[in-house]
Amino acid sequence: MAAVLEPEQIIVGHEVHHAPANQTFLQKYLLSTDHKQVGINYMTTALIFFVVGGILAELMRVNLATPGSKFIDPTTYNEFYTMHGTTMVFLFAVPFMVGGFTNFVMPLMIGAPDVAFPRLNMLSYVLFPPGGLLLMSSFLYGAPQAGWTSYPPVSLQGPVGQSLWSLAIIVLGISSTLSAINFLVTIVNMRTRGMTLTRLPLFVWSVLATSAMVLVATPALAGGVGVLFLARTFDVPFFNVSKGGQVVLWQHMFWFYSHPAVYIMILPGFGLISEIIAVFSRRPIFGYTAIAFSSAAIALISMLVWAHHMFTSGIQPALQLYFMLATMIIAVPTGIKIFSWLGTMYQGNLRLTTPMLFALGFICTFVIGGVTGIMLASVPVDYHEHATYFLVAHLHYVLFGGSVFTIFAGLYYWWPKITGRMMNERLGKWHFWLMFISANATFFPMHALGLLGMSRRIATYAPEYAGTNLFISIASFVLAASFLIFIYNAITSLRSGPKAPPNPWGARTLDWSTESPPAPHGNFYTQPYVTTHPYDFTAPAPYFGKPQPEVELTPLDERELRRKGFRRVT
Amino acid sequence: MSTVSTPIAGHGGGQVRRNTRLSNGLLGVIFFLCSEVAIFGSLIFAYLYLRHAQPHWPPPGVEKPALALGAANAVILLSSSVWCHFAEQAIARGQQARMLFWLALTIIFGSTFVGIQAFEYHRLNTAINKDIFGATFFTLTGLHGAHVSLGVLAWLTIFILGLRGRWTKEHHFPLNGVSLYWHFVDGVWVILFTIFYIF
Repeated sequence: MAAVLEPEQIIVGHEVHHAPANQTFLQKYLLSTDHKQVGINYMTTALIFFVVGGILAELMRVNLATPGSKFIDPTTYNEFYTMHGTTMVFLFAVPFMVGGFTNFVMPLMIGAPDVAFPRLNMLSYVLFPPGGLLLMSSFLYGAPQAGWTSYPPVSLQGPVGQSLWSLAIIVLGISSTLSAINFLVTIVNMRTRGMTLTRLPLFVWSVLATSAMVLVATPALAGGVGVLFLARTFDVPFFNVSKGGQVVLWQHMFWFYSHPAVYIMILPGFGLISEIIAVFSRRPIFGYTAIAFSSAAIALISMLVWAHHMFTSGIQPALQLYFMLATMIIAVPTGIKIFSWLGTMYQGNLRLTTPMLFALGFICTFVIGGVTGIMLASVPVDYHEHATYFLVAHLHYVLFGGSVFTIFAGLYYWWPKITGRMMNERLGKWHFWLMFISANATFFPMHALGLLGMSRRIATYAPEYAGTNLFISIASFVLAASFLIFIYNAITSLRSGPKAPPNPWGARTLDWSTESPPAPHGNFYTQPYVTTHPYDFTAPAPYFGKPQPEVELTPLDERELRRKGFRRVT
Repeated sequence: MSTVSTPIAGHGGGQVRRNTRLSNGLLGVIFFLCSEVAIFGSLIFAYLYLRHAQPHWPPPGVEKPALALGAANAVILLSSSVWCHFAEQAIARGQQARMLFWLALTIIFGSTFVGIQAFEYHRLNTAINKDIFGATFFTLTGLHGAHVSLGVLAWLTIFILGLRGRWTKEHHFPLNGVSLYWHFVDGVWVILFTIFYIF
């Protein structure tokens, strides 16, 4: 064997071992330092908060079903939309994307045994439930009413819950910033043999870009929210005009984070959609370099467009012009991705499994959301449509049609790897179609409402909007019901779903090169190595896990599986 | 290429693979400092934004802190960066005693900075919630002072562990980490000193 000069040193580190016996539930699960368990913890907690945020939304929709409804009083309604937005952004979407998927999948995809700082990872998770409970506790002391955007002077005058909101945001911000540091070091330094940056799966590229955004944007929010807390508690006059403060300052500080935040909530979704489309079209991703660069471009430009949320705040026209142009430019990298995905599917061998359906549904809804985004980017249009239901429609198309759909796509895709069980395909398809149709039915009519002048964040409305609002409310209940299909599918799968093979979808990325689920500590039994790009379906699928016994499928098994919707993967 | 896969053997004692010449820990500190740039940056932006909106600075009735004492304090803090650099150099050569000497100086100078800051706070005729100068000055220098204090505590920890012989020529990474943090804190002070005391 020829001697090989290795520029880096070879890992002689983590052997695969089992956790010590006699661990309490707390130690084994909630305090686990294994990135896979941390990821599961994040996903489970985030899903619980998704339900909380969803219940708040449904209560609002009950109130909005008829004009002049007395179901909720206006103050409580204000609390509800504030907490709905805050919960969905900070307790569901960001933790699920950043803490959930990234934690579980990214180290596997780069062939690493864990993240760079496993105990820091555990700390990041441990901060999450208390931060969430701190936020929820505000309901006991008078929840904030200023919207998730929390503009002063309303947020300066609000009840104690507004201060609890501030503290919760800071705790959650620390949690995600620590995660970002962890992921950046992991990706930069812990890629396995042969995993050059040009062979990085696109999900990892998207995580790299997202982590950079989290790292730089979240502390800026902490600065602003910290100052808000000081302003409320000690009368520090940053936003108090009578003592020299400026109200618009808050908006700058808040949106400097919150615009990148929306990209933080979608970019990992873009990454996993790239994975799913490549695998279920059985073709290499079209425009790999373009997608990778576009992720970096989105991360950079997203930090430079924040004031398109402030067109009606009285900022100078010259600034409005700049932000309008920059916002229109940022649509270009996303458009590049959309076309690349379409190019990947062209003449591909499509398998319309549930994850693929969610990916396709995502493309439809996200493009609609993107188009209305371009409309809103235009300053004159925004003057009319800002703070109307047109904006509510746009944001839900990109956040529900975008983030939520990609989250479900990723959940169905990685469910076998995470749990070692298969989901039921037929139930999955029911879930998709019901959710896709009802989501469009819920959010599309909101465009019309906004164009006709219905304002957002109001507990009631003029009678002319009544019919549409009733339709939307009914559609939203169907949307909630579709989620229950997922829950039922998940629970039955965990209890009695068929055991998942290492690579049920026939993917080529390293996350599918172990058993399902991967070994508890260390992931791989042998050092993984990579010799080709991650979407090479002509090469055999890699496997670096525990040697698996050959499973002979009897004809009866095959028929049973076909009946359940599974097909052989070559 | 060998056809036999090599099991990942050993546990803990082996060397860790990395893709760059920097260790995980050092990279972690560098990224952490990026996040610190962001938080100070947002507050500095707030200060400049608010100051720009004021016709007179400082606002009527408010005195800026004395330039002379502030300059002296800045020199004290910046020189502590030099001392900690010497400490790093010393341990890189395995010189334990010298490292401890320079560490002690770093701690003394760092604490002196905090002490003089506290004295200046006491002397100023405004408060954090009295006017916009007080709000921005105390928030920013207060956050900075908290960072300096934590840094001094970190150096104390390093010093005590050094007394117990923990640092060697081969293993003294925490010194490098805290040193990077300390240089960053000093860099922030250069900016704060410029925008509050000088201009």
